[in-house]
Amino acid sequence: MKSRILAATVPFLFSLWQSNPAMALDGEPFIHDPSTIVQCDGKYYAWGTGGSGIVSDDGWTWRTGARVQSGAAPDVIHIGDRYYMAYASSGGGLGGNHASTIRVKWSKTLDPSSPDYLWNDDHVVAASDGVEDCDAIDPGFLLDPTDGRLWVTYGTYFGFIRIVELDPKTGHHVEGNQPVNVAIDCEASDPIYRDGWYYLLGTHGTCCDGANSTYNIRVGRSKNVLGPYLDNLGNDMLKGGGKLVAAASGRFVGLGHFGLMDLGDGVEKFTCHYEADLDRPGHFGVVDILPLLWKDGWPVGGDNFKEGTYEIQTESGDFALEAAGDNSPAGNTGVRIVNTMSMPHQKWTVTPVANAGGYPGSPYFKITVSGTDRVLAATEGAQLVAVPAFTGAPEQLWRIDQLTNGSYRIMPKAVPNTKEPLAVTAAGSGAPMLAKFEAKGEAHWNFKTPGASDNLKEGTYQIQSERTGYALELGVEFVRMSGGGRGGFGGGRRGAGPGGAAPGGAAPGGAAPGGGAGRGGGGGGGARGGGGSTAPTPAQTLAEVSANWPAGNIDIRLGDYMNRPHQRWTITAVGNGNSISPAPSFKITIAGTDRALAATADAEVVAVPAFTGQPEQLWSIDKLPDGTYRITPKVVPNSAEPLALSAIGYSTPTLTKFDAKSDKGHWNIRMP
Amino acid sequence: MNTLRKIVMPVIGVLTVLTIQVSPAVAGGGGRGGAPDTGPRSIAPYFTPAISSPKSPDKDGFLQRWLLLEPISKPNNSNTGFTDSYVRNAFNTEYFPNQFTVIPHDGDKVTVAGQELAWHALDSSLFNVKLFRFAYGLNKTSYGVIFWAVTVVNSPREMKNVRLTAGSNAASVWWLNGKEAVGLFNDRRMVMDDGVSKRLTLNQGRNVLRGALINGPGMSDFCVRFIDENGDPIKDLTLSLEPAVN
Repeated sequence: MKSRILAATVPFLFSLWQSNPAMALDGEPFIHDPSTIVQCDGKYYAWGTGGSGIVSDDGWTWRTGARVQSGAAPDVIHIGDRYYMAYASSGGGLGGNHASTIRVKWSKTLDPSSPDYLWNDDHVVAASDGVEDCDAIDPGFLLDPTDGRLWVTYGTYFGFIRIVELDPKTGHHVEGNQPVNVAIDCEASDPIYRDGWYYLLGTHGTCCDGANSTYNIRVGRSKNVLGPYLDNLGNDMLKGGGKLVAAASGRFVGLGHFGLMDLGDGVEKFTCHYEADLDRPGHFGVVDILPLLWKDGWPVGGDNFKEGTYEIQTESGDFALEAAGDNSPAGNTGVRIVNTMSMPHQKWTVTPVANAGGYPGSPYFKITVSGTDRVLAATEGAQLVAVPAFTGAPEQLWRIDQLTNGSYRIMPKAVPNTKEPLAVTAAGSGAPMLAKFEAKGEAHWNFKTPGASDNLKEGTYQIQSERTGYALELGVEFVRMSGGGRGGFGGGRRGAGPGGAAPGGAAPGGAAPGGGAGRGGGGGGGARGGGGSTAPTPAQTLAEVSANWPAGNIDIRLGDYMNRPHQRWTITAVGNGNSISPAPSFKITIAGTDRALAATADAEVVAVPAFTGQPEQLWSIDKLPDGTYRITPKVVPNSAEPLALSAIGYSTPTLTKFDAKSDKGHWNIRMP
Repeated sequence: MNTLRKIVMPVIGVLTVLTIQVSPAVAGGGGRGGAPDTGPRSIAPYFTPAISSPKSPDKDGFLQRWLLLEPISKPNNSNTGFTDSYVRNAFNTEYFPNQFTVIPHDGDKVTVAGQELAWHALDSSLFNVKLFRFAYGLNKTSYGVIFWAVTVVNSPREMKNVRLTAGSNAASVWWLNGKEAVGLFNDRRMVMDDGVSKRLTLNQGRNVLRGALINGPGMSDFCVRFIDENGDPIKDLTLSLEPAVN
């Protein structure tokens, strides 16, 4: 379980994020490069590099599973009565090798205790020769729902990501079909289809470097499975483009290796691994399952539900769930839907329940009338009541899934005398009921923090470009963290390769680069956890990184979203607004310092050493209809024109005229 | 990953840039299959020799004509240490005389740490300049290297408020007319328009654009273009490898 989104409205879900240290999946979800998690005979399975397997009965608590004879980064897909597994035999730059093959095999079941568990027909479907602009690793399947054709993408940073067609009846390469280049500079590609678009997910950034990994998932889309896959800027993934889907969050670092889990009824999730879970260090890869949201035709990574006290509101926000009566009797009380009034009996404390199981990505929760022992429960007859005390009965355990539009579905683990899964449903004002979930508003709920408003509050945040997904940061030296996760494969880039004299070691003319935390090229595959300290890794502090910061102005840039001190901004109200926004102005300073964001006379942005109150250091922050924020300086020296903070290219902030139709002036403000 | 099998594939294809040869049963894969790479090497089809007539940017404004210096050895077995200070220190080291001012000619040679390195005047066939293929094709060190690149950008008029954009694998710094314009640091992949300069002025006539790029393991390359205030590529430029006549 990890962070969640606080929301009053759906757009708000995407803009103001709150994250806290928490667990990813429970148990031992420790593999690297996980295959898409697939369900077979009621259990969930995944495999990682080296053939290590994990298995779960419920998708929440995981244990070590059966190993398979497999190489790097397998993927699994269920077609008909077969489970196909694709994997890479070698490559990835390990041991200086970019020659590899993508192999496919199949089994009738994933359950190793079944007599039908046997991997058959292990064969090659694609290859790279070690010299060409491709390294055949990291396969990702797509069964095209429009025509039943089967595709596999593969490749890594060494050249192109390619796609080639397979026969869904055999898993063999379709004779005569030639691979097509669809992307560069990513790995762990995975194609999916939705609403007329093909999406190519790929992982950018640095792999296998523990807490310093910058892995992040990006996407382009196309009307044709063979591309071109363009991002939200219109840039081709063959030129490095990619819109951010998910990146580091809170204590989770280096999020990569997308795999889709479509659970139906508007619930989509994705599987991934973290290079480092700072609360569970020492593992090379920690798997998680996260909600997948969709916004304007683009996938957006969500966050699993976080415990807290909320108002449970209908999607419109007009009505809220409440326990009937302020002074409840000893027995059960009713639950009703009334106008949202932020009354005490409209506040519910949602708490994960230990050892009660869960569902993909999350444990079950109890939902308690805040400040009491009274909990929400399902009744025979598919009604809702608040019972006097929590007993752990299944009708008191709740599954809370984030839907693709950002709202939530709330379902009891069990409804007495009913086998059908039912969801909390509002039929206008009155009593809520449990009904078969339908993907329409009556069963969509939002969890709003009492007292929360749409106006930005003072606090410390990360400021993330909606356009590029990168974080606003001081242009200062990146300081490596120790610990966090176990590196692998050499840290950063995989191994040496052809024609490459790469002896490593200290370099003349300067200090040697920090070097990766990994084992160096040629390390062992797979890697179940272990190694290194298991004590939680403390967050990097300002003192650890700021000693060598320049005394004067420092340029501002956009960097990988890492939750580091030079990316944390404290926003403080200091005065009146500007000509285009009457709201109070803010100063925006690097947290723990007086270094303040300022507009320059050449319409750029810098951090000045100290806030002086000059108008170019005062900022208006206005919420936009899509839930993001416009950030505008009160004054730009030498400019009469109002300008707004904007992202140009992928990694550069500047000041330009605000254009509501362009996302370059849209910013997300996230809790670190 | 020494536990993994290395599969040696039969020779079934020939390396090309965009066209892949396939066998009936296996997609992709040239022939070398991890065996020692002893075949003849070439910088084709990634590069062709630059000719005397000026060259325009491509349809997206990318600059494809460059003087490239054969790689300087700079051993690094990881790219994760390419911090700002490490990269600046690496580039500020003097490797050859006048490295920040020289406009070399094709075939000029410099000596770096006792090794003679040649400049090559080349046109890139692609929007990106694949330095790995440049080094590999010339049988030079391709990992753990520093590359230097120079081109002359001729502008038909003074252009204010333009920006230089760059993407590189891995870190790089770019100087326009002797002044640093773009720096890309840390373990970088080549993404078009990854880094964008502040507003610049292109002089009428000759402008010298110089870059240095450092990489450990991986495919070194870069792409560079100029964009206008609206973010649109500037294409009415020409590239030459000789000083332009104003």
